[in-house]
Amino acid sequence: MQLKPNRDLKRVLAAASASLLALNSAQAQDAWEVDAEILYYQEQDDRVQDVSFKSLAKGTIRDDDQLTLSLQYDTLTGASPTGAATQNATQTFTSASGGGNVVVPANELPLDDAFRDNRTALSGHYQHTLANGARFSNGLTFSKEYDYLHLGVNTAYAFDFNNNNRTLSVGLSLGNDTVESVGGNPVPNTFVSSDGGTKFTTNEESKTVFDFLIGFTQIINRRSLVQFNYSATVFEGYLNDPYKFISVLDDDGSLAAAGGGQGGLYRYENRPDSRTGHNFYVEYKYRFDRSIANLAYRFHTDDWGINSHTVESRYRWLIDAKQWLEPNIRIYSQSAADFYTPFVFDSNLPSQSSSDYRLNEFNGVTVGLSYKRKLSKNNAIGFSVESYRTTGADASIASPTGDIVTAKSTDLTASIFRLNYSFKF
Amino acid sequence: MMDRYNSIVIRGFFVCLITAGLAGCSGLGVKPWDRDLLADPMMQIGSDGLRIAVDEHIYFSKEATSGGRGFGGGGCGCN
Repeated sequence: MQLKPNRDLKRVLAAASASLLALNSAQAQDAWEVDAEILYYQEQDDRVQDVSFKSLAKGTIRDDDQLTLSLQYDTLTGASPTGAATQNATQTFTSASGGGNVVVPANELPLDDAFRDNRTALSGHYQHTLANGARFSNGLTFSKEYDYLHLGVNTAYAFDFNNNNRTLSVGLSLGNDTVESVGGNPVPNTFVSSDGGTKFTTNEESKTVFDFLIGFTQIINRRSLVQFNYSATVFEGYLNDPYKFISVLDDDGSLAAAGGGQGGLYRYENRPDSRTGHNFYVEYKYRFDRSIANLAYRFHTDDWGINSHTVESRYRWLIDAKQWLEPNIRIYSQSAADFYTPFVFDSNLPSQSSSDYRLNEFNGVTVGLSYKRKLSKNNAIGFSVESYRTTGADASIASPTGDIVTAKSTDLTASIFRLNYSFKF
Repeated sequence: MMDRYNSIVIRGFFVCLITAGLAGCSGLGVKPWDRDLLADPMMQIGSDGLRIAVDEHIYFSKEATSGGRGFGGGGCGCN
């Protein structure tokens, strides 16, 4: 039986494509790609500064198996908001980071300038390709700070179907984090000593983090594809920030006095000991003749009452075969946690509260520009500049006696610079 | 009001997902010889692995929500 000519042509082309893929696969044997980056992150007013090095190495080990190793080292310095509210009088408190007494002038945001940390993070990930083309991968993660240790394992399975036009992936991850803060972890809801007196502490605290993810990728046509992900994260255990505390106010809105005339009264935060969150994520990519557009959206909701929306877009202009320029924008918006409050009243202390500005309602905008250039067949260099700015909502809260007390939001402006180099061998 | 909005967002997400799935039956996708543009590593989802990992770390430490692209929780006592 003679096949129709166009069917013959399809067979020949399919065979040619398969040969090319096999050739590429053979060339990829024992090949390693390494990306390395130096990052400088600086917040306004000498707040947090991070100088970070990160590298990612990806190697083809045998057949189509892949090993990915990553290393990150951060050096963090600067000042971090304590959680205490700005007051129109001088404030004095003991640094929760072990830096002695801190004096904050009137109308200034209370910062703890003893903040200093180094963080080392390592991860390894092995992906095995099965005979049917499905990928099965397993990974380990580790990170260590002076007062924090993270250990994690993860596993994932992905397979293609519909002539490799669709991919379904499923993943699980389990992590255990322990925190042993400077001077001990404060007992939640205890008062902060303003004169170096007794700090009620607990020993090492820990939390477990469980993640589940399911993703679906669809090739739409020759130029575009789309991915949908759903993920759930469950946190259990110690979810407080041991360095954050809350201003305790009298009903007239002034800072309550600590016993014995020792300055103002502050109380350590107390968050719920579990949190379940859901993420819905979609990402779309389109290839134009001389550029690539990328658009992503994420919706998050959780049982702390936080909902967030994130839209991110990147447009990569392929200047020529050797270089590209990429502007990017990211817009973020979140609602406040149910237990967020900028301060508490001495006459009506809540059992759960946190004044961490990251749990407040705020919007964030990032704009940036990246450039990358191939230096040779196996070497490329790139840099990027970004600005990240958040603006929160000022809060007006009625005291138990009906007085309205306002608190200004804690905003953030950060500049991010990166220099990266990638090579193959 | 916010709950209603969130429920619309979640429903919209699944409607998109199902629509994309059903539409796939009627011709989404390409033949192997039409993968010239998609074969470019830059067209893979998550192709900038290093940048994405660093971005996620920054936003994890400054915002209350994380993840979506991949696993989202833990791993840092970030201030």
